[in-house]
Amino acid sequence: MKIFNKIIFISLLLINIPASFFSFTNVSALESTSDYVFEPDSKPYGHTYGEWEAKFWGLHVNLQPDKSPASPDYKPTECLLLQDGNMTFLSDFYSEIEYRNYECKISQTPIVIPALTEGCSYGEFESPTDKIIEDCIKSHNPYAVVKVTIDGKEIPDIDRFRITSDWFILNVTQKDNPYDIKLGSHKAKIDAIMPIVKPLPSGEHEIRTEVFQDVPSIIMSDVPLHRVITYNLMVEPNVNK
Amino acid sequence: MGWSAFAKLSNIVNLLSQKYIFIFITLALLIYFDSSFVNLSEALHLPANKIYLIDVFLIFVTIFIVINVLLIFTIKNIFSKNYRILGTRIKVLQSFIVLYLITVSILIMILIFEILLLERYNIYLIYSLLIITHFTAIYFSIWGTEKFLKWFKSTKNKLLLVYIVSFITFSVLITLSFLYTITELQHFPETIIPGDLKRMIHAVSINLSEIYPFYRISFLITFCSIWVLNAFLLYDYYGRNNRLKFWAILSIPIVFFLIDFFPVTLKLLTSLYLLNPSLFLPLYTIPSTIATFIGAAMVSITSWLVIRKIENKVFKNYLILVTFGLLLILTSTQETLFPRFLFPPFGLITILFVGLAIYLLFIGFYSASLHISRDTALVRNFANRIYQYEFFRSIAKSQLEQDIKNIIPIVLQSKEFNLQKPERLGLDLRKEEIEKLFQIVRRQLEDKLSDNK
Repeated sequence: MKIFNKIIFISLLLINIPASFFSFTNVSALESTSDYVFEPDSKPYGHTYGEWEAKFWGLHVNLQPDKSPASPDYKPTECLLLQDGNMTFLSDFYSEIEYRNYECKISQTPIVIPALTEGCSYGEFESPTDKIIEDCIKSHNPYAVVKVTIDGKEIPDIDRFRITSDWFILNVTQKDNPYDIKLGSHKAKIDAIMPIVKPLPSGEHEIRTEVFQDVPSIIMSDVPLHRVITYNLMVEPNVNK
Repeated sequence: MGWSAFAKLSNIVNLLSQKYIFIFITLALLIYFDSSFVNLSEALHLPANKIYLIDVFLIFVTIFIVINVLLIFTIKNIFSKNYRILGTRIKVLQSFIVLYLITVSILIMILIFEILLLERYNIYLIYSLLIITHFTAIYFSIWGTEKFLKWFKSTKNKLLLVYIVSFITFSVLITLSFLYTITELQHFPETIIPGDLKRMIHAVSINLSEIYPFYRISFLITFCSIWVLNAFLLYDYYGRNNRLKFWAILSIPIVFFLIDFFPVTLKLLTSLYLLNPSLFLPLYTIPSTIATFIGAAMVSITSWLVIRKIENKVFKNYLILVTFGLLLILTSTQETLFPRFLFPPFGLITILFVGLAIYLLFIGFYSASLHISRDTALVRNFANRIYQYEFFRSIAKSQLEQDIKNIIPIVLQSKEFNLQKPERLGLDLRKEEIEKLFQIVRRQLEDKLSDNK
């Protein structure tokens, strides 16, 4: 019996030593994503998810061509982030290559993760109608399989976060935007999976979005899409805190 | 082991050296790569720069021209020895299709020269090609429908009914495919210049034509009608002896096609991605690009298996044209990314086969029916054969009836044979009267044929 107890004790020790070492060295790893991700029906920082999606789309379409991953003139950068006040937006998943790693230093701010986006406006059609825009924003997204992980932990039931914004006004100031949207203010909508997370603890974190999408041929002729984008974030402590 | 491998290789080389098999495989590969090049380029991470894309398109155009030349000579060889039997109308049709293939080849050559020399081309070249090919296809599909309808009226053969439905669906599908493509092309300027492939297919919003769902539904109906046709042919080949093999072969193309077609089934399939992405992607990419293609190829190969058993070489050659037509009709009307990315226009070559597809289907059946209706030895050979020969016999019988129907008024008006004599009404014909009637009808048929020459 004593021998059996010894074996149990040594086994537990062997399992726990590396585990405890790992937890000491990777202090910033999250225990659960649910503590950090805002619920889809909540109003993070006073705005609905739909409103944050609209803000993101406004920033995204106005990126300079060399900074927009959807543009043929895009020049890959080590880090690509968008900022609106205190909110940090990661990049849209359209990328010039299918597997992309970004290395970024950020301060302790909330983060918007645009895992899957489809925004459309009156400015990109010759004879637009509300129906055309409604159809446009849902032409691909329903057929996508999406996975988002933070520090290797998957956000469960990610499809809950697929939210369509209300109508908003999209102001386009970038002449050579990759979506061929005319300059000016246009009625627009966006459908997206875009979870918003609270400021992460300081240290290294990995946010990874993975998308596989294929549209059935009765809907439209399309190419299957596969994108894996990894953000390696170094979250620096907030000095004001 | 080494010898058996060599023997196998030798068999493959022998098989490929057969003219029809060589054309068939080249055609199938050309259409597969042209129609799914953009998909394959994405899946296999191929380069998307302008020079590389133009080079690939140049290879496709070169193969297209070579195939067209081969087809011109093949069709000429098949018919040139048989105008005596088939008549002048076939000669006119054959000259028409040669002229058609030359015109299409010249237009596509102008297009590739403009791309190579000017790095742009005029969209009216594409409009011209689409109009020529689709109007030819619509003309032959309507003619085919009319012919099969006439044959069906006199024989009531159930397989003929399936062919009528197929030809009607071809007419509708080709019309809708043409309208859809033309509507999509209207979003482009007159001069087409190089564009970014990835941006065009992923970032730019699509203002999809309202015709698209109708076009796709008509494709589904056409696919199903050809699938039923295939089931009839396959039943004769496998179904009588091996039901399991019959249903296995029959269900492969329809399962592939339907999974890719509908949202529910496709979503179920793509959900498997999360289980094992690295295993899922290679297993998914190839089947998803051949979903339509495999259906068309299997229909065509099945009909080939049936036709190859026919002993009469001339008759068999006509029906081989039908197998080419079956391969081309479904593949040339499938949806491709052609209307979304036009520099270079991948998928255009596939669409250009639509006219030839219907011509081959029509001319294959029409010349076969004319031949057997005028070759009594061949008709006798068909007696006591299995079901599919019954189908051709009924066509032959019907065609002969139609020919005789036109002659009867002439015979009745002639002074040589008078059925109107009051004393002969209501009585059976005497032996010498039957012989005389037979000679008159035969002479009239021969006169008709010589008038056609």
